Amino acid sequence: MVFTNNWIRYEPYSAQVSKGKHMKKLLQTIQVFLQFFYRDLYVHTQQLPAHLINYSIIYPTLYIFAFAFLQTEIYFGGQTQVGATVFSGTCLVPLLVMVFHITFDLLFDLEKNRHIDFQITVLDPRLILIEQILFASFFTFLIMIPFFPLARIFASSYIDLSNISWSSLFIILYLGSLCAAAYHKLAAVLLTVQKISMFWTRVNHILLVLGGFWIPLHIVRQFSPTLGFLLRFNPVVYLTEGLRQSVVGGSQFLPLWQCATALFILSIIFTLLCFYFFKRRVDHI
Amino acid sequence: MNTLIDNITIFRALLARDMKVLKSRLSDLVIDGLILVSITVLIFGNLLPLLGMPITLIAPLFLGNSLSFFLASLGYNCAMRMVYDLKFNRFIDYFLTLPLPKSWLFTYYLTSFMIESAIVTLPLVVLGIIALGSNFGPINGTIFMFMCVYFCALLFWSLFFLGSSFMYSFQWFKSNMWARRIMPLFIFGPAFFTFKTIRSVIPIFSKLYWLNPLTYVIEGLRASLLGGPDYVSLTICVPGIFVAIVLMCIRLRYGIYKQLDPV
Repeated sequence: MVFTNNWIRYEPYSAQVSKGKHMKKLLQTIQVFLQFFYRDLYVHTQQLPAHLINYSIIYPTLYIFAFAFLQTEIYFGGQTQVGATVFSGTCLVPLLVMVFHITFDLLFDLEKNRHIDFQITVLDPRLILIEQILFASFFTFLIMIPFFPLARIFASSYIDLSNISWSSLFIILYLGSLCAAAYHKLAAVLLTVQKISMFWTRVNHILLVLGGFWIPLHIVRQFSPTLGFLLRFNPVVYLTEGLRQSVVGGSQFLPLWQCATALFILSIIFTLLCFYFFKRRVDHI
Repeated sequence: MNTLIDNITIFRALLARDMKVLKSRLSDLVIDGLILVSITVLIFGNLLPLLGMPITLIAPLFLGNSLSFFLASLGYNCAMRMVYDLKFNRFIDYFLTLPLPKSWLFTYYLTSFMIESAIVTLPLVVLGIIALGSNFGPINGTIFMFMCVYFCALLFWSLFFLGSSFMYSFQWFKSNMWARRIMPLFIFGPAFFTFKTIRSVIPIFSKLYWLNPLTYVIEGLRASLLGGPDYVSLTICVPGIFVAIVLMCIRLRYGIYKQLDPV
């Protein structure tokens, strides 16, 4: 018997039993999903000190020194707003490298130990991929959190960080981590170990450098409208433009809602493609 | 006991083998290089000046940042193969049993990397200079001097990466090499800016840059090709590079003993 508002609806006994089973199965699935999440957390927590030193301390410190301080003085004659614009994009490198380290475990596993074969017997393969993408995005986001606060503490006299909107910055940073995680997971499903170096040089390097690591989109448009239009298909552009909108603000960058929506939709597209190619790679039938 | 001729014959055979392997990978390496050069020309030659970067910095950045970064990437890939081999395949054990003195064997590793890097990067440097055109500015140095410094730069990078592959474990190298060794070398060296511009901004702290071997390598490349008073003089850079090479040799020797000597 099911109670919905004031309506009483009778259902046959078999339907009630199957619904109970369904609920139990759902709970079991959630439990296994969370267990996998905790497992990933446990595995990567072992490397947490090294990750924190590399991506939360060394990279931000080096980038603040080179790109916030020296670059603003030497390239841009102390224009603090231009300095902030360029500096905002530099967090791409640690973000992508961090995501790569976590998500590409799947590729090494697919080519060697194949623990994934065991995992897909206890949980739906699509849920495993979602869990791995979510974990990679959360972990990367946590590691990347200190980047801008450190810049605010140590570089606010060299670059203009007075307009920074922390809430939108962290939303974009998380969505960017999510999109990067889904994209790298897709790459991990598609590639082989021998092609990793090629993937960085021919794909990631181009996406990164033309995606706004140095140059915001409006400058590219000014140089070549065609290139500016083509760059709208580069997912990294939405992350850097979103970060610049949150840090510097202004009409020259893409609106925040547009960046957030694009990053979210691209994350879904990459995840769906990941399901498809993962099935093709693992399913021999 | 091997004669000198025997050693040379084995050494040449090993190099010939490497060149054969390189031939099969050459197209990939050239494509990668072309991508890097095209992007560099676009970013440093066209887009950064639109943001306000002085045009006079284009040529020094191309030599200091792009060329050095490309050499570092090639070196990293080469070292990664060596680290992987030391951890998993142990192909090096076969090399160690060859009737060739160990010093010759490690010279072979260095020579192989230097030839590979030269074959890939030299045409790209020329191509980059042509593509940058008038933005590159006048070449006041000499090609001969540039080639000498370039050779020293190759030797430095090969010693640095071969040494690193013997010094560190596979896991450490994979996780930390870029963040803890290569990036600090570039950031606390004059890769993104010239040494004189850095000195004008941070006069006291810039003295620490003299401790970085990349300062001599990068400024040496600039001074030898571009000439002029904007760069550190070659009379300082060349001895600096030699000191760096000697230090890297000592480091490599230590790394080899650490990694391969079982006693």
